[in-house]
Amino acid sequence: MAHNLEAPGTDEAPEYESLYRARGDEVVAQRPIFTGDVFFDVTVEGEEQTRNVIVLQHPCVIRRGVELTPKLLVAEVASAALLPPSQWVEKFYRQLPLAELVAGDKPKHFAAYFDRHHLIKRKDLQLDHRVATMSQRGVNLLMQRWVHHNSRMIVPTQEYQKVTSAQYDEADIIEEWCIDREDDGVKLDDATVEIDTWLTGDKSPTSPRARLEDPQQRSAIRREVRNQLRQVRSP
Amino acid sequence: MASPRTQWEMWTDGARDIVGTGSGSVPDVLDQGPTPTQTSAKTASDAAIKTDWSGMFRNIANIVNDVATETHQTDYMLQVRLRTSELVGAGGQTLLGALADMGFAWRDIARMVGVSVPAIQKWRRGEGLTGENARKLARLVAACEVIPKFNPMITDVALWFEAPIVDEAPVNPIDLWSSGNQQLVFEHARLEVDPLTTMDSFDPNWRETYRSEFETFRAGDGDLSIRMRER
Repeated sequence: MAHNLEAPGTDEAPEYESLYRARGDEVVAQRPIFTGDVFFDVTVEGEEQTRNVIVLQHPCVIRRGVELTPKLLVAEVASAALLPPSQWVEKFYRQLPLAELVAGDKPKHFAAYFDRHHLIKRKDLQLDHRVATMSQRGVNLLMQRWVHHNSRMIVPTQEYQKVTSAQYDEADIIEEWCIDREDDGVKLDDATVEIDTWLTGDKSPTSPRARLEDPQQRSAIRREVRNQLRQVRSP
Repeated sequence: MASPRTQWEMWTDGARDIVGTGSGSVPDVLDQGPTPTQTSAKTASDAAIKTDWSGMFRNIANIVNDVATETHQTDYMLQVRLRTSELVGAGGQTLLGALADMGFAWRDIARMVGVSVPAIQKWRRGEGLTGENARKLARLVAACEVIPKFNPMITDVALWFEAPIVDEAPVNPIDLWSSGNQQLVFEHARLEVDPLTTMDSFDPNWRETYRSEFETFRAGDGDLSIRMRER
């Protein structure tokens, strides 16, 4: 069977909510900026007017350590009609539909337009302007459509899963750590440095960050993080 | 009072009923013990009788196996249900703490319980959860406690849930559980069905669904990349 572009569910049973990890008030500042994050009303390079944007690039290339790269590639996000999943497969290749991006009784639908891309400075991606973070599935679908738009090549999302899951797990770990440490009264920046230092370790192949590359190590690393949290909390 | 009949006596009686013979015509091998195939047939007629008997024993063994499997399944599902009832009142924070200590990611717990990650984060902070969600969470914890008891090879239950069922598809017990196929999870844990059968039960088209012309590899910069497979 030939590979097609994939979609969240079917027309009979759409799974739009599966695109997102969090939306609106659910988005937490403790989560590091990641591929697929949507920001509203931010300043992009060379434009007077603020834009709504989505972070496009693979998680490997948007940061080094805890620092984002000075500029990031983003695509513009704008209101759009709701596209049923079958339409994701057959057309509208220049966009990632963001169905129900704004959740609620009357959800609002948007799309990320790949032919309207911008550069944005790191400092302009302000966390209080972030309105959505993507699920792993959402990140995979974004990568599939973005690569197809640029190269006309369709790669199954299961392959993107393999090359983004370590970074996604790391983002999860950082988020959890920072939430717990803020509860302890530690500032977000300091908590971020704490967990980055722990993840980096001695930079050897046995450091936690390196071991996250191996799916078989991830459950053990999560347990180690919890133990580390208990240690830093103990008097 | 008559002494209790042994399992062997019950089986041999059952065997006699199955083959429709009176007790007088049952070959001596039945009364000698559970190894009738060790007798040697001298004639074709003896061999035919021997074949009938060994076939019959095979059928009995299958029946006993089926009954024992069903009973065992019922028993461990009962154990999960009872443990769920014990745990359901423990509270969201305690149950989530137990799962996190096992090494589960919040996103996977959220999927298996059927809620969002932010909902899990609210429960972690002590916000109340509905009775239905408390039961779902308790059932997951109970399953994670019980599964390693039934398969001692499973020493890291979170890792086991995350591991693909077969090499050819990225489907794992988390996917089974999230899609409502919890019975398949238990059967997979018990190795009661082979992994391919488990996959067929989950998605009869899985071979096509997950067939890929691509592979991942460690690129020169140390990060994973995707490329076409060599044909």
